[in-house]
Amino acid sequence: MFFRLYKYSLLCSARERLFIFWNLIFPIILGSLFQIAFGSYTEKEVLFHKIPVAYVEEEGADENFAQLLKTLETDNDLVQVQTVEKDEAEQLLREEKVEGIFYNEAVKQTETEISLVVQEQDINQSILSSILEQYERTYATLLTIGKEYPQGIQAAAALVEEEIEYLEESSIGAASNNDMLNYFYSLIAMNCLMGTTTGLACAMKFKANLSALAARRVIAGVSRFRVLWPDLAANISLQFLYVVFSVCYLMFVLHVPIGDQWGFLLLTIFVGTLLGIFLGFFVGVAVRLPYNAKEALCILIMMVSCFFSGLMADGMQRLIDRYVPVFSHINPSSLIVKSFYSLNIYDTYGRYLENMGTMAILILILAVGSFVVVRRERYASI
Amino acid sequence: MQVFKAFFRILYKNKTSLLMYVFIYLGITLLASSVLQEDKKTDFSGISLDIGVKNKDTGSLGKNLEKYLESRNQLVDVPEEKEDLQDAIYYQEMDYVLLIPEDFTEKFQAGEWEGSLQGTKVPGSSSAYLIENEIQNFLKTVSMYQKAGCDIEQAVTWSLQDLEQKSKVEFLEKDNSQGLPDGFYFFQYIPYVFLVMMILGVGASMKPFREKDLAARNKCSSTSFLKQNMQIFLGCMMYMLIVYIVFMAMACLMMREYMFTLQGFLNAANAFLFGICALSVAWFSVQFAKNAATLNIMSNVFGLGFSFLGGVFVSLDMMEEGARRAAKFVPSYWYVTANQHIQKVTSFSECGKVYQSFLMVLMFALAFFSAGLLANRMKVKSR
Repeated sequence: MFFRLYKYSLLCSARERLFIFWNLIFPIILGSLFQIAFGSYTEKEVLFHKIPVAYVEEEGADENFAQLLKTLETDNDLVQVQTVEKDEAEQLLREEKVEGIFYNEAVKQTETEISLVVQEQDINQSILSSILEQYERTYATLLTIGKEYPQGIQAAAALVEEEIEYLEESSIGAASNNDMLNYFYSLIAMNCLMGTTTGLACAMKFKANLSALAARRVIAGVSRFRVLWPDLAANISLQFLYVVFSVCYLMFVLHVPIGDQWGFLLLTIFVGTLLGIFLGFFVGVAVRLPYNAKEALCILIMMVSCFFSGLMADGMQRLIDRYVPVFSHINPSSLIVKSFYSLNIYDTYGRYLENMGTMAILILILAVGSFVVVRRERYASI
Repeated sequence: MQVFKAFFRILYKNKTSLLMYVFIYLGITLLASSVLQEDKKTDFSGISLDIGVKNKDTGSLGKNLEKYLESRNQLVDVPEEKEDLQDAIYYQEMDYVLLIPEDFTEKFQAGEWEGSLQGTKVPGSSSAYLIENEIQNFLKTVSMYQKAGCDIEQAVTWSLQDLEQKSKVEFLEKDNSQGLPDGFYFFQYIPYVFLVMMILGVGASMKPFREKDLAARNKCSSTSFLKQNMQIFLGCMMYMLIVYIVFMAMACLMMREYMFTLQGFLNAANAFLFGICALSVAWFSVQFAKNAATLNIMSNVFGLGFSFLGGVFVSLDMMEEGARRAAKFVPSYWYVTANQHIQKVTSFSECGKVYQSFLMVLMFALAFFSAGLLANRMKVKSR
């Protein structure tokens, strides 16, 4: 009997067009919009690219700096130099085609002055400024050495050209450079928690005082719990499939690096879905409000929970982690986000298991709570 | 004006959800203008980064390097646990982590320079590049002095002195105050809230008139079909005006001075034109909305869709070239472009690009209105 009821419940839920839109299509639309908006953030804002720069040289100016720029362009891939006239350079800067202009002016016969003109103060401009500083400082250093230690000047000058790697580098996992991933984790969390509305629908079909269908079920010859299990199971499976589908869309169509540990990813999605559905079911059976108000409450819980895990504002999760850690440890959406994050960022599973454990406890509390509310319910008259 | 009155009576019933959007909007703008507001800068000082330094060096070089880095950046403590360190780097609280080993000064003195420090960074990041450059710079200068025959203490002193030298960096526009005014942020998010409020408000009020039975009953009433439609049209315009006035009043209350400048005036005009466009979008989407649930879907799809695609929530610069080209096909793109250009103009004669964007928004309004008419026509015919 379980499988027959499971099948029909599955068919019923799969035909709810509104559920299909909100639980399947909406996350896909939102995911696509996120990708359009933040997809190239890391590429554009975090990763280093050759810096386009204009170079204006006055006649009679020192040519060493031009030489340095050329080396930086060809050997170090640091800048992309366009040697132009002053007016054209300013035009390029205004049109944001270059990040800065180096002016190399002859002040006196033997002296030149090099300056940098920029339009804003950001990382690329700082790098350009550091190139200029480095050039001028090396010059100053050589001057001092020439004055104080003339015998060592050649050895010191030889060092200028030499590449010395003082730093031994160790980098942190590649996923670390993409904090926009948090938006996508929150989106998946929202998708899991969309299950609250299906959980609520289950409750409506279960408690006889809530709907005519539930009243009809109570008078059937079968225990109402034997009807409930397949109903819950069907909704959980369907919601799980919806979320897996949108995660696949994010990963394979939009190429968002959610992670590659498929087994754990699926487990997290499953536990997240369970949490969403039991949350909705608990609201359905325990709260005494009309259906519309209960639905609004479910959506409110979901949205607030997702807001604090960073769906609408970047860095919110971190803020909550720091200032209200207790809330962060019980907020369903935060727990789902942190589980995904732990899988992707850390090399160990300690924190992942911690988050999954908390979710399991929450599910247990909600399930037991719901059972305590509905057990031994009898209706004299409805 | 019975129809007109009925229109507003229905609207009044939906006041809670509509007002909610006004408050959400206020929240978003206040948050955005306080978080995104850049400091006004007139002197170029270079960007300051967060560096985690763990200094185990027993000699003096490590301490001096730390001092040098601190003069231009913020030094932060490095967390003990690896997971916490990964968190800090992921959330961009630390741009670089530098570990100075115990025997750093000793090894440096002995000329063992290569790999004398350990750095942890996000691979390929620009900020890490800048920090590495600073560290290399310092150490290279010290090495040069050392090679020239100077002892390490003196080399560090000379180096610090040389490194104090600042290069000459200027801004292209001398009075270039970098920050954007509050007004920019207030108007930036207008497309989202206007679209949602128009679709929900107009949709909710027009829906009952389009119900099959009621529409049939109204058709045989003494008020002509044209008059009824005119009143509904008037109701829509009135509603748009009310929403517009509410938002402009909020703008005047929050930034009085800004609103009475050229920028303020152009922003208000821009918002008004977008209001008309949002109304057309609402009229278009009402044709496809059968009930409140679908109306809700429509408002989310158009509101969020146009806002994300048009660069309302996330700056257009951040988008890929392809996405930016596609963005030209949504009205909010032109609204945002106008908003950006408005901040740059100083007189009406410089507003060429702004007027162009205004025109584009109006064209979209016309396009959505016509598409709505077409959909309506087809629906009536199919009955």
